[in-house]
Amino acid sequence: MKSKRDTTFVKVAPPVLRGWVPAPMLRLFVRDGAPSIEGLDAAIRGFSVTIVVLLSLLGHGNPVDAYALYATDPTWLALGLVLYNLVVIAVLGVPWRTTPGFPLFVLDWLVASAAILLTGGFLSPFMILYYALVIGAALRVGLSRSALLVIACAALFITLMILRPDPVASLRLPIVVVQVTSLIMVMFMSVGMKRAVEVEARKMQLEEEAGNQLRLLNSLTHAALAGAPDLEQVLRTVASASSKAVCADRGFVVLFDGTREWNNTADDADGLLIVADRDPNPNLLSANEKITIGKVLRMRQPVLTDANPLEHHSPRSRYDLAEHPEAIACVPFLLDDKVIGALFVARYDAHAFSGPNIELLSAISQQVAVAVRMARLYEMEREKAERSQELERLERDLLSMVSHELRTPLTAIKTSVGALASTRAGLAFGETGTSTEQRLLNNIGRSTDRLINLVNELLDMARLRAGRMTLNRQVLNLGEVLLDAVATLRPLFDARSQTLEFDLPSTGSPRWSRLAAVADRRRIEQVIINLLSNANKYGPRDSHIIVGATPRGGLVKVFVRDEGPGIVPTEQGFVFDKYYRSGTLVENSKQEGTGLGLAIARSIVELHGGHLGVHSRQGSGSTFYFTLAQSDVDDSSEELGDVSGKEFNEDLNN
Amino acid sequence: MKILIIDDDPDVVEAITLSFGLQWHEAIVLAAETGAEGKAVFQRENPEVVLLDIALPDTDGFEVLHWIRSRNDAPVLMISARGEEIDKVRGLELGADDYITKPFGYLELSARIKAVMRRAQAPPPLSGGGKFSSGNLLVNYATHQVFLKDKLIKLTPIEYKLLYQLTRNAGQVLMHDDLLSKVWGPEYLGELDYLRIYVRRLREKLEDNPQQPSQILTERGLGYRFEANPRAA
Repeated sequence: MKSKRDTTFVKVAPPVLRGWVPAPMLRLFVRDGAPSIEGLDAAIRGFSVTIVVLLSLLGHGNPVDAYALYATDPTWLALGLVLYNLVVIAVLGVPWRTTPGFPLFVLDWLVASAAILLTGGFLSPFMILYYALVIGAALRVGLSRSALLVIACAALFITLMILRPDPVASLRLPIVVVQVTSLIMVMFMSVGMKRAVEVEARKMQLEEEAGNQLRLLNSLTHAALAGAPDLEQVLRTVASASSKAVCADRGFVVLFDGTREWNNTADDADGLLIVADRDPNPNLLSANEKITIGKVLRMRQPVLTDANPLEHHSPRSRYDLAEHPEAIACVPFLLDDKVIGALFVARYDAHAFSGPNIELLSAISQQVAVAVRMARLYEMEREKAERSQELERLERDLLSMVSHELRTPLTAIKTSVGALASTRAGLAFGETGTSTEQRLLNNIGRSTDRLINLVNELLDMARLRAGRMTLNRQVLNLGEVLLDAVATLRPLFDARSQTLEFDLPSTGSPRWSRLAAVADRRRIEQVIINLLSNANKYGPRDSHIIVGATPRGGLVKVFVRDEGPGIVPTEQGFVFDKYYRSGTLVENSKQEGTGLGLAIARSIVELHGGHLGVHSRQGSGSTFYFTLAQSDVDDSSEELGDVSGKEFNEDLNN
Repeated sequence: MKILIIDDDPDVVEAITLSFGLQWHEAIVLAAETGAEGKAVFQRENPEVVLLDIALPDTDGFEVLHWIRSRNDAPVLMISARGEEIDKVRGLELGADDYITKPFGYLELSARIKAVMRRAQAPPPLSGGGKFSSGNLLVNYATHQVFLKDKLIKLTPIEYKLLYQLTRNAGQVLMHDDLLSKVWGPEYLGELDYLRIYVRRLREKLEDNPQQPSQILTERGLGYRFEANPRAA
């Protein structure tokens, strides 16, 4: 801090002095671009001594020799004065190093008085020393002490006037009055000048501070709003920047972790996060600091503390004992009217922190509170995301493991049952046999297939949720896919004596070719089979099921209509939800299932960019349908000889 | 016919062995539970077809597949409980002939094995003969030989069948499912991975720059087309 200031005065020193006067000397006379008090004092003192030395050398040192109390050679006296000042500077370092106290001025007074007495009393040219003395005292030790010195000087004059008969007796009184009045005037002028200099310096300091504070606030706001994930780094910056901004010697930030009540009598700092500008890992708070934090917690407003005697009795704190803070300011971080932490700054000198300092610290604290909130929210979100990722991963692993573990034994069962059934009855698996053995084997086969479906559905769901389902897209005629699927499931419809009706354009017609869409054959087959088997399960025996596909408005719509119980309007929004099974449907048909089929079907259709929906009225059946974007290419392109697909597209567009 | 099953689940191995014993009398089933054992049996017995599980106790099926492919072209069917697209593609790329997801039944398995065996045989005479030439490429349909710059190119039966379909219909777009159905069989409709991998292999063998093919062209969303004699065009 000091070095920064030093550079500043050298920079603002009058250019004419630069290069001629050594930097330390220059710093003595000029501070922050204004003349310094110390410099003025030294200059006046030096000037007065120079005057008396010159007068003495010129023979005017003692103009009223005959009337001097003790006749003395003024030249020696003047040189003695020079020597005295040099000794004072050498011993005390005044005014470079230490601030002269009142005793020095008393000593100065005694020396000056002696010189005056020896050189003609109040007619002595050494009187000028009194003026220098009063100016110096006014500048350095304040008005009251300077007034004491003026009184002392006046007392000496009056004593001399009474004791000493004088050749110019008629002049004595006016001279004494003029001298004393002049001293008083000089004293007041000096005090005024000091004030003016101080005000000027203060103004410049405030301007610089304001600039620094603005920059600091800006940077802290930026850091806080950037939501930097490393809160500790932000706090460290805050601690060091704040302490710099208010010219404190150190600063640190205390953060309560918010999970437990902080007990300020605790020896350790559990539940606190302390970030200091210097010590990276402070783990102890001094007694004084604990008391201050306690106060801030209670009062929820900034607390200023002067040097506290407790500090000196406390056990060794983390800071060197030589560095007892003399002045502390502690400003709380308030979040929702709760103190979540505090900003500490301390100075080792006696300068208490000012109102503007506290205002700045409060503004910083508000930003810190925001930063802490953001960092905590960020942390919470991160933890939440991590937890949910972990859960998802576990679910996926579990599903994958379970299905893997199920699929292997299912393979053994299916293979065995299939082989057994066909050998025993001379029938292929799936055909209806009549013997008990055959029926039992068929039963096992059906149950195995149901288990397999279940496992496949669970796996598909897991794949869809993890976004791992990929599509092998190609141009397909959905009418063809629909007919293939119907053919596969035909035995199921026959088993329930359900009649299938088709609502399709005639095969090979231009309208038929408009049933083309870009889709994954296996996945779209899966969707259609799901819709068909639902119609088979929920449609009553001996009922009609209408399946159809139609091109309309750039879309291909595929639908399956049953004459089942229908779905009540309140449930229609839920039938596509995972694991949802309609109360009405289950009640009426006692059908079993995972409740995943429709959810999977909808996800697959949506993955294709299409839509899966239902129209239903309770008691009059349901129509499940899906739409996919129509492809503007049909498979007749194969017959077009040399024309490539691309060219064919262009042909179509023309 | 020797069939080697490399699978660590004894129940699955036993079910397959017994089923084949009951129904497919000419099939001799050899079993191995680990990759190392599988390799040893493979070397000793020289099976005509291999059923290879991906998850093995000592290694994974891909490593065994790689090992087998470095020795001969015996048909390999990968069997896996995972059924993930990525496993399938990896298996096919490493040279597996088919990929079956557990659970499967006896009928499905035997059908797939027979299909693979059939495909692995020398391709049937698909046409009465004749030749096809385009640029540096010459296909002799009578002898099933393919020459590139007068050099004989070795193609697997599937690769040859695919090239046959493409060159026979040069200039026309062949839809994915048509190719799959004609080259692999109707049960492979929609299995675009097979097609993609074999088209890539053909390009690697026949194209100057497989990344930017000039003869075997992709018709996005539709299928493939053989562009005859691009230099003359």
